[in-house]
Amino acid sequence: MKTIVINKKMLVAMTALTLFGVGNSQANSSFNSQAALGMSIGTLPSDLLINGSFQQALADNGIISGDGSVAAVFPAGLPTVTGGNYAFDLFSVSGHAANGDVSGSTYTGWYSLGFTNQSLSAMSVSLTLNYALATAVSGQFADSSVSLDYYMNNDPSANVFLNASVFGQTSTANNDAKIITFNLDPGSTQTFHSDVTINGNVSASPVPLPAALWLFLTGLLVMVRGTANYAKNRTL
Amino acid sequence: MPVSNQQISSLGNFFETFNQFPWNITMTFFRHSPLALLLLGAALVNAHATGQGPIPISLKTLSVPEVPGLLNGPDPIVVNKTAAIALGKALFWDTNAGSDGMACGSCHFHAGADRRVKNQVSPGGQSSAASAQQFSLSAVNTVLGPNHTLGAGDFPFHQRQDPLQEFSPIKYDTDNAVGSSGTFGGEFNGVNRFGSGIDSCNRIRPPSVPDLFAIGGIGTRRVTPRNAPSVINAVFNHRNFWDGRANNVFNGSSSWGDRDPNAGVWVKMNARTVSKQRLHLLNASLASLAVAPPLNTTEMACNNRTLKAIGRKLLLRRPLENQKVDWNDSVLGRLSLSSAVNLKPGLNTTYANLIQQAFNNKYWSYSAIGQFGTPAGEAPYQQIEANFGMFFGLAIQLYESTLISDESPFDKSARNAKNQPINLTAAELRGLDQFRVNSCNLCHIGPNFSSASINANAAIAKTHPEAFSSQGFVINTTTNVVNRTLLFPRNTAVTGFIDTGFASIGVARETADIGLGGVDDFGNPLSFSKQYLQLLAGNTGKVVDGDVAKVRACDFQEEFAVNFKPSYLATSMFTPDQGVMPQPQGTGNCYLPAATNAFVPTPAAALAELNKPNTARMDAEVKASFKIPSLRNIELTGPYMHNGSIATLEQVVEFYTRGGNFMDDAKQVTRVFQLGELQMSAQKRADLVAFLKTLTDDRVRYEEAPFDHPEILIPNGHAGDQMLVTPGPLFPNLAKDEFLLVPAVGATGSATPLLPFQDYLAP
Repeated sequence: MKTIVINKKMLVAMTALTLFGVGNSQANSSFNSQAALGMSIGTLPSDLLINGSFQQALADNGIISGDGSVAAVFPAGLPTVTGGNYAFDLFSVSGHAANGDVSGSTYTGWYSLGFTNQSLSAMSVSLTLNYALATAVSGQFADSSVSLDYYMNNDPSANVFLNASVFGQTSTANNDAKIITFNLDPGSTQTFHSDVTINGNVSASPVPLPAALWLFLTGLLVMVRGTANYAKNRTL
Repeated sequence: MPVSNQQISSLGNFFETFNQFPWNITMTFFRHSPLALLLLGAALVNAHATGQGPIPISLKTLSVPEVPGLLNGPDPIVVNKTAAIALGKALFWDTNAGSDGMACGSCHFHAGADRRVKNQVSPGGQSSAASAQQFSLSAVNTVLGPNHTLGAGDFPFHQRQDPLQEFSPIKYDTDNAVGSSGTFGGEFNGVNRFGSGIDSCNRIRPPSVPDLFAIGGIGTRRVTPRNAPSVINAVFNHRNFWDGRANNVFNGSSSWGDRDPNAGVWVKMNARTVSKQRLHLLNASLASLAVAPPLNTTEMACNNRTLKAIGRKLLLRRPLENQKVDWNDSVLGRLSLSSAVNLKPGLNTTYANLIQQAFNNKYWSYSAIGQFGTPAGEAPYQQIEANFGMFFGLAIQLYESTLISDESPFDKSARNAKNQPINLTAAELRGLDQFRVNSCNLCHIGPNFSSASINANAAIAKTHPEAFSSQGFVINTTTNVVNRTLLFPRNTAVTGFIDTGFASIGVARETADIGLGGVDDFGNPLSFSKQYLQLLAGNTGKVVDGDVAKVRACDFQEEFAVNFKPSYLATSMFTPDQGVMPQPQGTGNCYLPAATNAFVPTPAAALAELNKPNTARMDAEVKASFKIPSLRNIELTGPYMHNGSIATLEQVVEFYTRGGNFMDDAKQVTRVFQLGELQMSAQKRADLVAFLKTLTDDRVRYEEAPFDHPEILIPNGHAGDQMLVTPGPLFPNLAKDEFLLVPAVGATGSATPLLPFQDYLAP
């Protein structure tokens, strides 16, 4: 029968664990939400001038307490243009807390694609909006949502609102493509807007370890120590 | 012998002559002489064994009044009714809705009412100076103070030597009321989005303010000054609360309808524009009602709490996160985390998610912030928080609209050719006769047994005339929110104005509670009658409810203005002598003959009369008037009356048999007077009670769908008694709660029936 010996090193280790908060488990909470937008013109008339842009409209971290943190990555101001395709960088926001909160963070970005008919005749434009909205949350409490409004500037009240939201402990995504057609008179301009907002909240607080877990950890330390002694003393 | 409407009306005119008699110097006894004559007249109208006047009919005949624009129209507010009802049910029962653990359901958990018996007494004198408010000794000499446990001996709160006789000496009387214990109160600081559902409030009660809700310096939960009426079938009421302050029009953010100049909801006009707009939803009194208790500092809230703050607190939470939900809950079961063998708290979603499913996105999807205010030290409010009052009110209205108890034995009974229900017992049928003979049916009229169901009753008045008339005995049933009846203010017979669906029956003195005689937050009278008089006098600026302008003089029960000079004395009427003109409203389908009665006084005549100190023509008597409640499930909804002063139905019948307790100016003396038949027969009184019990729907009694509910832990007095309480954990100077655990019940109901109030009283 093996004798359990708690030596000085073990006592120091357990004391250190206690002092440094191993008595509490860290209930990390986080969210990571993003929007990827791209716009394309099916048939690109030569006299159609297009300008794409992204504008950071709102960056509000909300109220942060404890070790809560939140960070946003906004797309660059101009999209990457390939033929009739206008691809914007990923717009993402992530938040995290192990012992704190992020409450009410809100980030908004405005995407736009401006069209000018430089020809002498009216033209019909067919625009495809590709979007991928996604949210992922985990931990003790996390909540996030991504929303998208898109509309033409000459009729902002006819905006279409899309929403990809996740609440609780799951994740979701909303990926689709929408086709918008409109007419441009000679010399006229139109602007297509897409407004994206990402909200996020996280909260986490240390959860005290139950006594049974403390007993388990103690036993585990003893076993580790015993195994080490056994290995050290073993002779072939 | 049948009589015409005109004859019935002229019965009231007969009393005009009584103004010529010096009633004010007669003995009290004589003031009821006209009543005897009225009774005689009524007996002549229809004196037979099966009662008189309207006969109640099944609630299945009544439709819930439509709320235009809520669920229909080109751009409805609610886009998913199922989700909205689930949201409403969760909000109604969620104890996180209150500042310190009170839900709507905390006071409406028992057949839609409150049957708690500990810490339920409120001091009297609510309409007097604060110094006049004090707790009394009970009839059995215990202290009716905080944390008192009510016993059978405490009731009724007004006792006579002979409970059946009006002039019997008063044995005991108190102006204290049995209400509902609510919140501890405090000054609101803020809410938590996560974690504890208890609001941050300054709980220190200022020593400069005397606080009656305390024992030995330890604060107790405050108690409402009125009894909690049942929410079941309340959707039929034109206005709600005992004093009608829950306006028929819901404005999206307060109880006051069009009266509130600051009301409105935030509407997303486009992706980058939001606008605060007026909301005007008709037949939405339950929504007006719902938004008041969460801000009431006696019922659910710390002082200065806002609906936006409640939204902030709840939106990211799981509904009912601390309350078990039955897997088979008729509404919430599909969202519950429970199984048949393991009930769990909470739903598998959040409030924000339910709102987004239920409501048009123009009310919650605006993404920018800044317009909606910013609480100190917190993030700015978002649109979904700013509109939380609207979501809260409408969702609860839609949930409560499902709470219709139309399967009582009375509803299910077949009827004979005379519309008599034939499946009731002989005693119950005799009780129905007594219900009609003793004029109960004149106020408790229509399928919901209440004239407060104005629009619902009016909608079926033509298709079901039996419910509002019998053999020529007709009760005018229109959408008029104002009516006329014989009153006896200041010991003078006057045909005065009353609000339809409200009555003073002399339960308590005016000083105890003026009820409908009160004013709103802006100083306007709650009463429609008072406004109507101003309208007639040309003071249109003092008319704050749209229904008042629609009142038709030709639809009054008693004549008001005629275009001829009558042969009888008409001291309460306008004639060409004073100046009359055609009513501005239409004259189709008038109750009174339009040719002679579709008239109103000229503004000059009305104003001149209004300025007289004791006018008999422009007299609206509404003080101490209260909403006429439905009698459905009345067996289970005690204690009774607006002040909860009566514990049993037998005591209620005694009250009406003696003709009430007090002679207030607004007392409707033609409806509440000594009832000779009941005074002389215990059997008839028992029969009447037996009939009233046929109005209990067993689905309510056993809490079957739609009356099933989640678990709820209800503060139920404090550790200790009325002399000593134990400090609790919330704050050192606040008493420790005791709780009543009401278990979750699924759609199939509970094996244990709900019992009448008196069964819960201490012996």
